[in-house]
Amino acid sequence: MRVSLLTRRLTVIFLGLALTFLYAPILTNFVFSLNSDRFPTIPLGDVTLEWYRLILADALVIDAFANTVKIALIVAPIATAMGFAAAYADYRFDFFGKKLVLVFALMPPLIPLVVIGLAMLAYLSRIGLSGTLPAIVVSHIVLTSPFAMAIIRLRFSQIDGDLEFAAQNLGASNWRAFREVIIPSTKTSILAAFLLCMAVSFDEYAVTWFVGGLEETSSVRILSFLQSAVSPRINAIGSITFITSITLILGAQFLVLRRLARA
Amino acid sequence: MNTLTDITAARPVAPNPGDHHMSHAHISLKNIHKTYGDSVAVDRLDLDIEEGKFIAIMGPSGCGKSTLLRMLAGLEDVTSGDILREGQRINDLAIWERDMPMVWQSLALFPFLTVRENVEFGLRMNGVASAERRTRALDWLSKLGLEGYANRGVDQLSGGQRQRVALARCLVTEPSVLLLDEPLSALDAHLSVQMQGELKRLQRELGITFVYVTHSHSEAFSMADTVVIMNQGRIEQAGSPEDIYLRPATPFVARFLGGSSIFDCKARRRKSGELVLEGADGTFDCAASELVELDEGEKVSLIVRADQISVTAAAGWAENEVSARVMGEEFVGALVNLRLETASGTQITVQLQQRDMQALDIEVGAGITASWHPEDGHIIKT
Amino acid sequence: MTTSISTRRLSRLAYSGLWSLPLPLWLAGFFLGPMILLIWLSFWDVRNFLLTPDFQLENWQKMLSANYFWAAYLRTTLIAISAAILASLVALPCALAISFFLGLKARMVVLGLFVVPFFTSYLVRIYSWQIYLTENGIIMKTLAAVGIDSGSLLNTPLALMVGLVTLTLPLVIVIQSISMLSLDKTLIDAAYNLGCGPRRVLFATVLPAVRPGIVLGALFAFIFSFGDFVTATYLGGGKFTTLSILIADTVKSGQQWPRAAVVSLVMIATLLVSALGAISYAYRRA
Repeated sequence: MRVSLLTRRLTVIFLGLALTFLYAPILTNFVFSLNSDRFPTIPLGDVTLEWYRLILADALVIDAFANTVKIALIVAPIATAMGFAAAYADYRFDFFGKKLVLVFALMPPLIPLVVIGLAMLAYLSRIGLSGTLPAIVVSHIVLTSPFAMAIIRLRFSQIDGDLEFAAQNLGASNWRAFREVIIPSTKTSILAAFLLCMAVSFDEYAVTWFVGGLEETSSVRILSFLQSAVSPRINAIGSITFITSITLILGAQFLVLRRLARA
Repeated sequence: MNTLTDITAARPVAPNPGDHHMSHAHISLKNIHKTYGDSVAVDRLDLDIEEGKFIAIMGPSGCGKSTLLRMLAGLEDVTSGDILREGQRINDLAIWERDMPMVWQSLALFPFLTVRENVEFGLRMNGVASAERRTRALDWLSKLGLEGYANRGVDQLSGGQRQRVALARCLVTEPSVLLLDEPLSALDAHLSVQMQGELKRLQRELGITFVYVTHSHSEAFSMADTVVIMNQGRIEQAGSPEDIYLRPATPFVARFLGGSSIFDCKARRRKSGELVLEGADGTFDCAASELVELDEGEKVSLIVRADQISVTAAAGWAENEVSARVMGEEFVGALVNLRLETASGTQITVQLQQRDMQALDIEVGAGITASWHPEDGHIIKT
Repeated sequence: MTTSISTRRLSRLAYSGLWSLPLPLWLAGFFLGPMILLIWLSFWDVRNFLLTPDFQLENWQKMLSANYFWAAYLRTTLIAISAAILASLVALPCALAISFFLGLKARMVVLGLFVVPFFTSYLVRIYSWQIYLTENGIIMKTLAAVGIDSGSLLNTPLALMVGLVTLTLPLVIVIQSISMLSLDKTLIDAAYNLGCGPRRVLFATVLPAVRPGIVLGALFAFIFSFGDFVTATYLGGGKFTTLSILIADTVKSGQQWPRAAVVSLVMIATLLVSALGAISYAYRRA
């Protein structure tokens, strides 16, 4: 748009302020996780790793982290596979009510988490699953697979619909064409979806808190800390959580954007 | 482009078209019907495709030509009817069992493979050993003038080069039929004309059957041995380009090809006993050979090609005369297409030399007389 | 022949079913199932602290005639609408800058930077805002240093908005930017050619054309703010009881799940109606 340089600059500065607003809490968290003072305020105390040492000695935290990793490693492959299947089905086949199924598949992230939590808790306790790790896994797959489907479907929308048939036309069976054409075309988006699912599973606290019972993930542990008292230990766990999810998301973005930039 | 002279030598099993009887049907479509829900895409169609011939299927979009090709390739199921190849029914063969490689409109080259890997693809699917695959792929690449491009990505090629990779990818498997779905539509006019020449030469030298779907008159008429014109899922006419050009079988074909004027008439017998054609624009004589099978009272379309109509400022000079008004003119190289309209609304197209046009010295809106020799009218019963 | 056709069709059907079915089946089992149970649950009874399947309207009657429920409903809706408007207003200049004033590379990077926070722990970020806003927190100390004396900002409507904008801003900016980036740039040039000034171009051309993006962005901000329960708890200090807090408290404290189910269903109905309304408004012909 043709606007004055001043307007242009002011708008970009505003954009910078918005980014600062979003990243300030993340940066603050890192700072206070290394601050020796018991109460988080300025002026800052000395630099220390004490809070990290404390949480790493806390059996509850360690268990929570172990659970988180276990859950994410089971959730991500299943959710990615299901998301992929749905995205591929949408790209490749036409069937009655397809649109409806797609809308339905994208719904879970839009329902309030407490509502899903309550519904899941009631449902899973009726089938004897509530309060177990499988309960958390089952719910996380519901919450993450829509993201996987969306990101892989985005990739499919860039693929020439004739490619797979061209492979079959040259003698490749259904499965062979799938292996030779669909997998190479979508593998980066599959990996991106995998990372995204891990990140979402990693950060989910509400539904997990409802259905997990005594089983805790690191996010639920943070929730428990928040309920009890102010402590720099929260910052220490927070830093670990941030680093993990930011790494996963940046990885996913790198994979997706590299494709988009080439297209 | 380099020459393709040694292609047949490179294909020891290439069938020699001379060995076969001329009318040997390679592929036969028997009573093929295809519906999507309530709409009919292909309507009980019969077609024989001769071995080693270049057949072009054309028609307006939605006429069913692409559906027909896709049914041949196995991409669509036929609703009813049989597809025969060498007399064998192939309806139930899967896409990958049909061995009818196709050049796609989108080309559908594999973007994640190199040029050579693209060409090798079909061989790899058929279990050809890697050393032989490589030799044959490189061989075809050089035949099509793509030596030196083997290890490039397909997105690094020009439009014409990609076209050749698509061709090489199909031909390397030595098929007896090649399907082509509007393969030149993405090329610019100049490149398209060049590729038309190459395709025709390739087909003649390989002696294999080409089934070519297009909406372009010039592509169909410049390359094909047989042109099939389709409309609303049916074949309007199938024949040699010359046959179709000179003797359109239906008013649709005449209109679709363009460049002809069509007069709706009724046959009437004069007191002298001879048949004449009477319509809103006048009474016309016609060659006796055209009138043979006509009875009094039958409705016909009288087709006259644009290059056979002449125009004069005044009436009373020729046998079949129509007075009309000049609606417009289009310059096509040294020729002028003059568009006329009669009082009854019939559209007439006349093709003139530039200098004749200048000699006439007429303006849009002026009255004028069009005429043609009775021998030049072509009758279609309607 | 007929058998060969049917086996071929069958194998094709199996192939397509293999891909089409897993996710819908999973969601039918573990998403639709729970949601249907939720509806049923709202008619159950609680006897002697035990959930008993039943079909009675008492839960609905009790909840829908309770003043505290409607107060919470009104509060939640107001908070969510305020957050949606605020986030949209803050997002608008950002999306304009991203779409029109940044180069291709910078645009990709900045959009990427906005996506990251959406997927990072909101809980920890809430905690960080507590550090900023609390009594003797960073902001108060800074203000005191320059001679301004402010009370604790925590547990105020402002704190709530800070939290909810933190939650929703990234999504709103990304949605608005996508709709601006898909805008036909010749439209803007045409407006300039017709002699419109920059302000008229913005208000008469750009904003109407990206209305779907703005409305959808606001809708998503509304949805997420409406359903969120940690912001009101940890930045509102429990002063602002929202519907989500109502549900969480009911579930974690007692066995009044049927009443929580009623609240849940009212929430879903509200979201459904607002989504349909917003979408039909967004794509209504201007």
